[in-house]
Amino acid sequence: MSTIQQSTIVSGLSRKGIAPPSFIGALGVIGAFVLAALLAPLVLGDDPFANHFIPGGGLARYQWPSPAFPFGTNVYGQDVFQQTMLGAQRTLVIGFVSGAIIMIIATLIGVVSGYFGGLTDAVLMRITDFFYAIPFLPFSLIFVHFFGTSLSSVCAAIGLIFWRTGARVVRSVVLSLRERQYVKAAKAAGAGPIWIMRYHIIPGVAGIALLYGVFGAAWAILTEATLSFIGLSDPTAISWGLMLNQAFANGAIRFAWWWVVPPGVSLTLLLGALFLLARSIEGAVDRRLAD
Amino acid sequence: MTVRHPKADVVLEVDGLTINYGLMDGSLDAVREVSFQLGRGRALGIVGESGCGKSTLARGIFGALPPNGKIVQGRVSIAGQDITAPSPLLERLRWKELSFVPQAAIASLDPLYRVGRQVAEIYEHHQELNRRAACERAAQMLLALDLPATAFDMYPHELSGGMRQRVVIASALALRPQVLIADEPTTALDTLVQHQVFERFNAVRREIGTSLILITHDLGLVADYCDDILVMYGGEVVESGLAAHVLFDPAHAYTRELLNATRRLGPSVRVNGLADLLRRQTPAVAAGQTPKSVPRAPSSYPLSSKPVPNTPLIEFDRVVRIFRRKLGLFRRGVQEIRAVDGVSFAVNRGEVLGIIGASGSGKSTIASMAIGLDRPTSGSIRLEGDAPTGGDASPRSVQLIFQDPYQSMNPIYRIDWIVAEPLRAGQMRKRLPRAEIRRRVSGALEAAGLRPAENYLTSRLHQLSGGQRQRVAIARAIITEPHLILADEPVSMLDVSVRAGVLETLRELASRRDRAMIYITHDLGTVGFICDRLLVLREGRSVETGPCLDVLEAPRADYTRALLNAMPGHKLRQPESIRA
Repeated sequence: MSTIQQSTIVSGLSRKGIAPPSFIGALGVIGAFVLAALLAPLVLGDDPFANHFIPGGGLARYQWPSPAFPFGTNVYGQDVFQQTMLGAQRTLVIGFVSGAIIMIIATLIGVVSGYFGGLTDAVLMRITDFFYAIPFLPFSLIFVHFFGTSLSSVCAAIGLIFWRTGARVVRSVVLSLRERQYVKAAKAAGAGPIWIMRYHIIPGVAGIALLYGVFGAAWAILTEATLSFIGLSDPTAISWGLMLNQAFANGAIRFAWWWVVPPGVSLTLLLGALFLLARSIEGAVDRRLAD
Repeated sequence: MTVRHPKADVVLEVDGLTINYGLMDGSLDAVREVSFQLGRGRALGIVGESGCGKSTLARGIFGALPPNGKIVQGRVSIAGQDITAPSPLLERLRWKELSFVPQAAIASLDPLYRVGRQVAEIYEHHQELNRRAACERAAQMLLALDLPATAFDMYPHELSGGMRQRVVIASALALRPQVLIADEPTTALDTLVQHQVFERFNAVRREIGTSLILITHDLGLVADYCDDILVMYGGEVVESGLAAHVLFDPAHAYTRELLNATRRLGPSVRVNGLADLLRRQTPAVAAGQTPKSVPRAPSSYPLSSKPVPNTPLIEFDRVVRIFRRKLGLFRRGVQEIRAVDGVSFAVNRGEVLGIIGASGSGKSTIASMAIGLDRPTSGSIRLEGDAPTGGDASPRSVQLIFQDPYQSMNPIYRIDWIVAEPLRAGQMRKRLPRAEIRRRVSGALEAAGLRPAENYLTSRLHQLSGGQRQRVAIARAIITEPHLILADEPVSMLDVSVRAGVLETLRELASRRDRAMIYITHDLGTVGFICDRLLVLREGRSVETGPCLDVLEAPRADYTRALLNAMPGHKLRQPESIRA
């Protein structure tokens, strides 16, 4: 019986070679946000905090959506549409970078821990348990206090915490992979641990690590929005969380729906898309494992 | 000629059965217009190689085809009633009149229940007996299959493979069905255990009058236990009839081919003379039905016992390996398992040593130690004069060929990568240039009988047959030019017709002056074909050692005699007895 074990993640998405609609939809939404983040500075200008004025000279406060301001303006006379589009930049970068950090740490810890076992495993897994015990918000308060609210420090704060689940799952997959006959055969042929991990273990956990990377990205985006909403972000860098924070601080959440809905819906859409993407990857990984 | 029985004596009739598999691209008739009758109390052996449709036929009859399989034509009837699946009648008759032991059925026992309960459940469910009566019946059935009375209250993991197989057979026979279909029921077992299980199973079956359909690749089993035979090739029946007739005087070339392959691997091969057998080798089968691999005629074989040079390549000196295991959570102390208990032997250059033993005899531990992945507890192993340094540091002048070519190579890589791995990953590597690696990969593939090598370099494992895969494993083992090759049951997973070819290749590779081979197996059937000397192991101790022929012809130890006795196919090797 032939298997499709050799297939890549993407071709494993569907037995018929056609990606499921949820996967295409998710990629479409993510792609649209990436496009918006790339094009917004060119089309709309790159200053999200520019104040707009009404013909009389006063600030264009709380303008309803109109052709000039598709999402209206906020209390400072700033363009909500422009802020939403530019805000996608920071959100996407944080999602991507944190997701990547999570994936790399989870893979390294999980593979080393699972492959070597014994004392190495015990030490690494207790470290993982320790990270499970850290409550995120208090930790990030302190972290941001010492390292500032820059993009990199927020990514680091998120990435350094959320690798824990991925590492555990990767480790469990490695535990089964290392017992495969072909791993024993490679050992018998003289291959060392680095070789075996590089060529026989990591390709086997890549799918599951990617899955946790994508979940991590979604977590990171949500977390960043939370941090910004409670005021722990750089006030000079626009983000969806910051927009919600300002709307809340100005008591505008009750009436200026056009200020609140765009960042809220964007977050929901992007998180939903990432979740669907992760589910598609999960399905592909499951099928590969089943084969 | 199909065997025809008087109408009243036919329990199962299959008429023009065609089974089709829906595939990603199109469909495939796995079974085409198969017809046969099964007489009351008789045993029918359905033989053929992997992929010939015999398992599909069994599942089709039992109505247990995979979701993409469908009976598109023909009918199956039991005692005159149509049970062509899917039919409600079949649902009712299952287990009562028609039961099934699928492949790898040992794994079908529920690990959470005591085995006796699992058998008793059948009686409770089907005969509406109360628990006590059901348990009584179950215990009787288990006893009938020679299981000890204590087995009733044991969990599956506490039983050996042979005992679990007996439990599975007991539950299949529990309701005294008219027909039992058994698909390779004993392939996972050692020869000796297989023999014991089969003897008992057959006796019980005859006693309760159940007819048997035995699906197997082993003509020996059919010769010993079946009345009728059906030979399948490519989904069709190529020959059928009384087993004694067909096996004694096969009409079809494919049957002859199978029979020759089986006989050739019999223990008496050297007696009959290899050359004689090769001369009698049948030409390839009728047009369009060429078997996957017709073994090449070997170049020049040392037919007599050849002179063996006297320089040991590897020497085991009173090697003992003890494993210690904690007794359990609440019990103090450790249990000592003497996996290898004072074994001494030497393998000379140009020689093939066969190590024979049942599972648990310590043969795999010996292999691990020879290759340096494990160390003896006491005693010494000298490889070309030095002890293997163990672990990753040992120079790879020893390579291992694994039993299962489906599991021992990583399917995500191409053949050229797989073959080159020991060269690139092993300690022997000297950063060889790419062209040199390529050249050696091609050389190894061709030496392993895959030629021209270009056809295989970029293939993937799933595109190759079992025999071809094992040849890839051989190429992988010889690419570092090892002095000692360890082959751990290298042909037990292969079809009979390709076994001989693979063994010939191994024999050729091992007969080089500077090389030696250790051939590890539980199957005495193949050792005569390849080994110069034999070492028979039992529970970690060597019970007999000597030149291959001497051991096979005149075994000194009782255990060796028992092993020889247990080999299926005695009748095959003594054609006179089949005529009688």
